[in-house]
Amino acid sequence: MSPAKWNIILKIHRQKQGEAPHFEEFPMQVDPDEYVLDAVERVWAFMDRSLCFRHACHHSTCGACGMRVNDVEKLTCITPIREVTRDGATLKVEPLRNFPVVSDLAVDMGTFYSRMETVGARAVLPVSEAEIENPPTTWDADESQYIRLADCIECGLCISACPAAATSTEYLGPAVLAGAQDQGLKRNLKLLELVDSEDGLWRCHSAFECTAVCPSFVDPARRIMDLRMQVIEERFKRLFRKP
Amino acid sequence: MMAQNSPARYVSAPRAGENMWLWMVKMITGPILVILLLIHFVVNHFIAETGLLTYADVVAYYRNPVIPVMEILFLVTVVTHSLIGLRGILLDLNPARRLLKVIDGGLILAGITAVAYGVWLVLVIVSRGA
Repeated sequence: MSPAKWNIILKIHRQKQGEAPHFEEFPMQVDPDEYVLDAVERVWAFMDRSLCFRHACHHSTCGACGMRVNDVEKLTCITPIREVTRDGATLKVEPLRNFPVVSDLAVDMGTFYSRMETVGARAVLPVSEAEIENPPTTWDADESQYIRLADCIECGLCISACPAAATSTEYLGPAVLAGAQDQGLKRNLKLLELVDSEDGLWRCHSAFECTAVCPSFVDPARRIMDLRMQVIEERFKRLFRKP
Repeated sequence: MMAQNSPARYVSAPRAGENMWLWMVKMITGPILVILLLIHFVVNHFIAETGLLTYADVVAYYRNPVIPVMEILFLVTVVTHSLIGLRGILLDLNPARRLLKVIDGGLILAGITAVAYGVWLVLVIVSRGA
């Protein structure tokens, strides 16, 4: 027996180059257990081929389909429609904030990716350096041969949700600072001058919105706090170190 | 072309003058502030006889040398913590470098004025009880 269908109105942010931003509504019937991205794709496939949005893997690995769903940052490929709306209601989908809009729901992530590179954020790391829940006390073999994908999928949801990022385009932002923390000052001391600056760690107001929306449980806010401790430790060491 | 495409160009050069020290002072003054505020409330309203309802009560209360020291420390902590917090909010408005210097100067002046006035007031009260 197929589940009962819901009638919803998908209200999508539209904006082509030179146009003022506006919303367009697309009434449709959905299975509530479908994902928000499925509904967006249906608009593109059957209603309006000019709709522009980013997506790739459909299983929360690529981080491409981050959008604001009813004003909350979501990875749309893993957000069931049932969780964000109800039968007969409207489902609003907008592009991420704090990024330039390229078209409709697609934003330009170029600067963000470059900043991730600048702090040396690792896409993969040795398992021995990864934050694993209940890690084994001993590894069967030399652990350095095992590597693991980093938790951060660079979806940009944290940057969109961050109130401090909304105040300055120069602010490095949660994911980038979390990437720096993952590196650690002990491993990469060059990061010190970059993060201990006006656009670095100290602009964060500890709102913890980044941690609240992160779909990969990276916990950027905690990492920012940890990086602050690292910076303080390093600065104090330098105070008492002979030149 | 290579240099233009280098990732580093997307990250602004760290600007001087903003680092951990102000944040640290704010973090240190925060808990001190809470502790002194608690002591201030408890002592003023529960321990001090008659609850300091008259000027004479206050003058008598300030005869204890610990009180003026505590109140001055409380004042310095409050002023420091609040002005650094206010500066953090103003920074989010992205003032120009020159304007930020004016803001910094204004906040320092406001802080010094508030502390100087408070200390003077405390000393006047202490002198009246001597």
